[in-house]
Amino acid sequence: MNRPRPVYLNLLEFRFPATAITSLLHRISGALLFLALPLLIYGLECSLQGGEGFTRLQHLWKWLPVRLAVALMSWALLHHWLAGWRFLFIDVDMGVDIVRARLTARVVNAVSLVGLLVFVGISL
Amino acid sequence: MIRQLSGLRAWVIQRLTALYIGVVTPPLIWMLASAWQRGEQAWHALFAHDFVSIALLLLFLSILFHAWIGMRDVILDYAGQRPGLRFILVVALAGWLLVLGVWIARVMVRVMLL
Repeated sequence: MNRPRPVYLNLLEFRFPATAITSLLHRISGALLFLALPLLIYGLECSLQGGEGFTRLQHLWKWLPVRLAVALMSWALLHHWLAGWRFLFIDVDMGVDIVRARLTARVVNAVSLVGLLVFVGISL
Repeated sequence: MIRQLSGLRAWVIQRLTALYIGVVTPPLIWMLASAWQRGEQAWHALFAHDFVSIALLLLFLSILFHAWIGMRDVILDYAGQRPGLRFILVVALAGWLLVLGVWIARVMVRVMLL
């Protein structure tokens, strides 16, 4: 069957089922965690340096943007962890059928969304 | 390195590191958070335990390998059409992860020697 070419794809016409959202967010959260790595190591280094570094971190914690960034990274960790376990179970043929795959994807998306709201709520 | 990690081996490393990270992270976060709340002395005392330092060092090592494969996949997906750009980004990624590895090793070794 010949379709008229070239074909122009309209992103707005794509549908994004729950499984696609889980997958996309898994990638985004992974990239965010990658960006957080140097900050995490810096924080660990400061905290172990002795008196001054530890209090410097406590002062940083009082700053709202820092707490919001930590909330965002906490969401990234939560989503990446949940979706990661889901993919590992799918690797061993558990929850592969579309009904369960959709259900687990919805659960992952919902839990990580609730987690985000909780993390932001705590940080405010 | 890139060739060796391109297929099944990359997939296996990604899964094995994922298992270790997935199992170890929740209890470690729990221990770190409760020690942090109890103050600086408790924080330092936690790192005095060898198994904490070693678990943390292994965790960071796993994360670096996990990030190498994951970010390499991302780069290959989005810059795959341009070999020059792809090469530069993958080399930069490897160098960056190596720097982070040396950095975390320095931090942890200093802790374990104290």
